[in-house]
Amino acid sequence: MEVNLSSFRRISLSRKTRLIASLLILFLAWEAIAVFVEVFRNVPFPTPLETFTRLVDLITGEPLYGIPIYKHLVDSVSRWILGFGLAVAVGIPLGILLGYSTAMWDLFMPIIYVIQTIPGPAWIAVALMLFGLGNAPAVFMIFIVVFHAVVITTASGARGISRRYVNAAKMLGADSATIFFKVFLPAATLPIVSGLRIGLGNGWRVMVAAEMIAGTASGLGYSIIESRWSLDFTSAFVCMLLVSAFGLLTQRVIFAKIERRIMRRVGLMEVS
Amino acid sequence: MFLEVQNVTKVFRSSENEKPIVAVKDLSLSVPRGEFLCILGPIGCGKSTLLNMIAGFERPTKGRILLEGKPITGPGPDRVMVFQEETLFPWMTVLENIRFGLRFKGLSEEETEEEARRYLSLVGLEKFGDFRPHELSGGMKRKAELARALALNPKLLLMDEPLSSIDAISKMSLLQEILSIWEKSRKTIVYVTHNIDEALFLADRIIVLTARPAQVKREVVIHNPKPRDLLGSEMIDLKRQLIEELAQSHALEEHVLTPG
Repeated sequence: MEVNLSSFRRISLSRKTRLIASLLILFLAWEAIAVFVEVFRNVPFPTPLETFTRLVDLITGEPLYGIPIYKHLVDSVSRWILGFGLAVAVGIPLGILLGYSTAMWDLFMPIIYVIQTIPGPAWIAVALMLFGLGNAPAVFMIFIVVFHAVVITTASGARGISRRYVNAAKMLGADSATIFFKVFLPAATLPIVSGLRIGLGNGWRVMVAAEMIAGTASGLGYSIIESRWSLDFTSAFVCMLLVSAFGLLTQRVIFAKIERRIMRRVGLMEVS
Repeated sequence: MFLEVQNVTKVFRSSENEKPIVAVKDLSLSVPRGEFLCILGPIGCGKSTLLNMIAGFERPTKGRILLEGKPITGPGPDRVMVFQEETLFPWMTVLENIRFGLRFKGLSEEETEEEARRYLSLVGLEKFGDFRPHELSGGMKRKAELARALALNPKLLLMDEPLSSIDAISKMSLLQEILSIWEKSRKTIVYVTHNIDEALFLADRIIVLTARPAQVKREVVIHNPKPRDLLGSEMIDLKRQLIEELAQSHALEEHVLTPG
């Protein structure tokens, strides 16, 4: 018995150890590539240490392209939240409608699929014509990408998952208003949350790309693309690090927590 | 006759270029009031389709289905189905689930509550009213589902392989439960299964279907009083016959060789 117990503990401990080891592998590989590039191509390649040093410099107030790093981060996040928020506000109701009505699905889903095939940054022409340079075209690109993810996931999920509950409700004699509000909507929670998760990730990635091309003059994506001219690749690495760290924090930690809470609320424990 | 299925054919066409699937072909049967009828057939033979048509979820391609002489046009609370899959609403407690159907019956608040609790205790779940479905075992969920169905006081109770996902031990007690509910309520029950033991234990009459397209292959009336001892020689004989019937109508499948 004791042997078993201790081996259990060792498993959970070893998983944590492996996570640390995994990060260690990442940084070692990075270091190795940096050394390799410097030796064979004679190009200064930012090492992890250099990047962290630069991160500290930037955090302690050194401006990047005339703007504090905080402002870049805040601007990026606000564009993301704005684009995401607008897309969710339109996308969830539309997704629910398309999931509920086959006629609506037939009418609008093909359009959504057309939109889906076009990657976010490819909307640049449309974005510029509609909004000119600056914040708005970037928000527009984020909006588009989150929008189709939310609509498609919500609509197709709601259609599949809700059918058995809707059938059961019909059989129990429920009227259509009750079916919609008390059965269809709660059953659609799972796909709605999945749609939000996918949209959150899509939006975050497109945010970086959008800032590179929409002339936002601030933001993490903007700072990365500027390194083409400034050759300040170390700062570009800092920005990549922030993109990743902030993306992981918001999606894997914060949203995952919210998701679990919602699922428990609805009584649907499975998280796809 | 209470329930009549008259020359019913059901054809599914998934898309225009695909070959149509004939699930049920020219099938007729009738069920007197109060009978416990088991429809026995191999997996995928179209027996669930038949049940779905009686419930009103599907329309027959040909033929018609009459309940007390009136054609069935859609789902309704006079014919309640207990599905193979779980359909308890996971976001409601067990009691709320049972109340859900009762609110459309025009009862007062107190009557609804009283009825819900009555059916909850009928299936022995009185202590679990405030639990959510995911907190219950598979067998308890089935009982809750049964209580929700019975609370509507339907004329006809339809059961679509309700025990197929239940482990063998819980299954025995659920079979007893279903039987005692039938004895108390004397509801007309149409129970679809591929499990011979379930049919032998429950049925007044067993209808064996052919493989797809489903047609009536054989009818067995069982007069033995319930509850029945499935290990008695008579039942064993009957079981052997039924295994042969099923084996003929379908390549012998695992579930036929090792009935639960």
